[in-house]
Amino acid sequence: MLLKRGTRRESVSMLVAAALTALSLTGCAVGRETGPDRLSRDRVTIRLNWWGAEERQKLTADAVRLFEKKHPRIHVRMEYSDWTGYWDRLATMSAAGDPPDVIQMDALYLSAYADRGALLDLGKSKFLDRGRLPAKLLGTGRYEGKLYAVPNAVTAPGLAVNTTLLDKLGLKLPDTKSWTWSEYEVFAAKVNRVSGGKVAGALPLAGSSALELFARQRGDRLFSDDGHIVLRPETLTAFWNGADRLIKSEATLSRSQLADAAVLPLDQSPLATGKAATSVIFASQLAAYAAASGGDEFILVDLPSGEKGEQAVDSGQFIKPAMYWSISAQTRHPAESALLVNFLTGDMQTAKILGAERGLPAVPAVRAQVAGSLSSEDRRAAEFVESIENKAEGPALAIAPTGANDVEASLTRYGQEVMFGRVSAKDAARAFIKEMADKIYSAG
Amino acid sequence: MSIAELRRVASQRPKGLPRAARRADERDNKAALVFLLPWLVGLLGLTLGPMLVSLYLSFTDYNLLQAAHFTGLDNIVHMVHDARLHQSLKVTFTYVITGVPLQLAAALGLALMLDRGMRGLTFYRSALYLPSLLGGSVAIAVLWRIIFGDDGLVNDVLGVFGVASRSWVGDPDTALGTVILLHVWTFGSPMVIFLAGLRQIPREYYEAAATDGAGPLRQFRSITLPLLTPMIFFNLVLGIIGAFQSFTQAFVVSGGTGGPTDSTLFYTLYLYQEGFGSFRMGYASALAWLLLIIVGAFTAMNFWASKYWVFYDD
Repeated sequence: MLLKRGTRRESVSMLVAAALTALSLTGCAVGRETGPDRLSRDRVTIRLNWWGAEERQKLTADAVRLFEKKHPRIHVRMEYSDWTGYWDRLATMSAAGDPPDVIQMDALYLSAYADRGALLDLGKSKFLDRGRLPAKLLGTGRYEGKLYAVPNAVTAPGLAVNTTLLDKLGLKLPDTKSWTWSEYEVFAAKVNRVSGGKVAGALPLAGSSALELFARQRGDRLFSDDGHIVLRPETLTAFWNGADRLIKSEATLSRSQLADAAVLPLDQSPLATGKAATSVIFASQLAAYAAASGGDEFILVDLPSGEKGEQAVDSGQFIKPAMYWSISAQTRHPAESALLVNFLTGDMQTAKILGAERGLPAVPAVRAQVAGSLSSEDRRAAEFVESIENKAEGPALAIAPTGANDVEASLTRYGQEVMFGRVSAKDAARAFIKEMADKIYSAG
Repeated sequence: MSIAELRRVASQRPKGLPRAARRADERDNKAALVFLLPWLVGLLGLTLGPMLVSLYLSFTDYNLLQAAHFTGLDNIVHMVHDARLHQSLKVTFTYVITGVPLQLAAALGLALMLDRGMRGLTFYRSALYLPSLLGGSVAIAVLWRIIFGDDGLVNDVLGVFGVASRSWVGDPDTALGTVILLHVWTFGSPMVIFLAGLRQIPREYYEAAATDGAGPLRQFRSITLPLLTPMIFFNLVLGIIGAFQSFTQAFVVSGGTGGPTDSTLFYTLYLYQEGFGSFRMGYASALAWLLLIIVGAFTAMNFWASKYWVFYDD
């Protein structure tokens, strides 16, 4: 191609113009105003976004159909993905100025989105019945005083035990009402021994919820209500030392197996595949583990507490919102979106469809409605969560501070450094706390 | 006509041409622009525009959700102290420095084998090329995870020889090795290029060498290798650029974490984690530009060094 001079200069200016257009286009993406807070007379479409597996997809689709029947002017478009992909997608869509209207939210990410103005304040919405939720629970959806998320269901960490597996090995679970960590470790080692190393008796505590529970037993917490990391290094050191004891006493899987299992989806995890007999899980996951194991029987028991024959003062157990519903600050249809959230959390007919798949329903009336039709695992989970609700002493779980939404990844990383002997538990504990504090500081 | 001659002719401005011819020339230019438009729009809208934006974002605290604030050199200062960045550089350099030469060696070895004019060459060539098409895919990375996992094929085979079972992707000492192996396995593209290069070496050279009493090894060292250096150079440059940008394999094999203990934390994976996982897109943009500089430097170094070892036989 032989471009003459004039044309070449023209093409250069075109290039610059196009680049500037691209720049301004990206600029436009940020900050769309929220629409008016009243129901539209026209037909509107709102987007509902959630994470979850196939079962949830079916149930939610049914619930949404029912919603559309009751509100013929509102069309709901559903978008969903698995947990990891969900957050990457949500971040990207939000950055592009195209976030979904109704967002399934988690305590790890609530502040990350609320702090940056991405969520709508639901405290004043006329279309949302806030009164039916217990005040303490509703409080877990607040950030800096404003309600950015409505708890949809509750769950609690508990120790899942595969009783089918234990029966096969001819082992009996010790009295779990008053057991200590050392009793648990001895029992776990016995499972490994009796099974000839085929079944691990325990999986080391991992993840921020297990850490929170462990910390509460020691009068400690991971995050404070005002958004700081307050965990004491000694607590974290003891947390990782516990994992180390399990590995050294051959009460769990090998190090490389544990590292491998850390990224496996639920249905391939050691507890689901019968490689481990017990593990800390969320009560709401019990049915999913039972299904993935191919029909093994699972029960939930209290976690051990205290050392050497003496239980801790506080069982450490706490209730956690299994998930929330939030609404994007950029929605054009805040009224319709709030209507949908209200419907998904509190409609009695929907409750029957959704059951306890997202966790034990947060609204007490809905819970009563659902109680009769639960599967045996879900009923066990419900009883377990309710028993904790009745006796939980500690403060409500603090949501992860802004900048700390990757706490799980950091915790796993440092935990593995300790597990593979790269650093001492003590140094890793200090480094982890510092890293979190830095991240929270620089995001604030 | 030589290239120099062509260039000279091409650079001559069509001065003194009759008016009709000049108009036709202008028309041609317009037509050329129209034909180029799809590419031009892509270049400006999808490559150059975003690149300029990302350059600007490199100096901001952009967090995906709020408008970006200019923070000067903060991101660059942070790079100096960022231990995970240093770890990711270590992992990526290890991968590039071991993976690329190993892959080229495998490609060359197989190309030499295939060049013997065996029967069914097309079949073998296609079969060996196949991993190249698949290797970058998520499916193969998932398969890799399973093969080198706790219950994987590798353990089953080693078990026969009495080697204790372990998870190769779960051990920080071996996890990166499995990803490098996956890279080596995708030797197809360089192999095909080597094969074409081998075909271009005149047979007479070998005949003459054989007459002079040179054995196969001597022939390889004195004829094949020197005449193949342009191909090796080409494969090396592309291989290094590609390896620096590896993402999929590491993402899938480590479940997106770069673990265990950051042993498979590839540069691009860390960049992705910072940008989309931790909402530090400004810093991630700065990381992207650092990668561009590193890859650019490596490529420039390659071209400079090529003067000393690449031999063009024309």
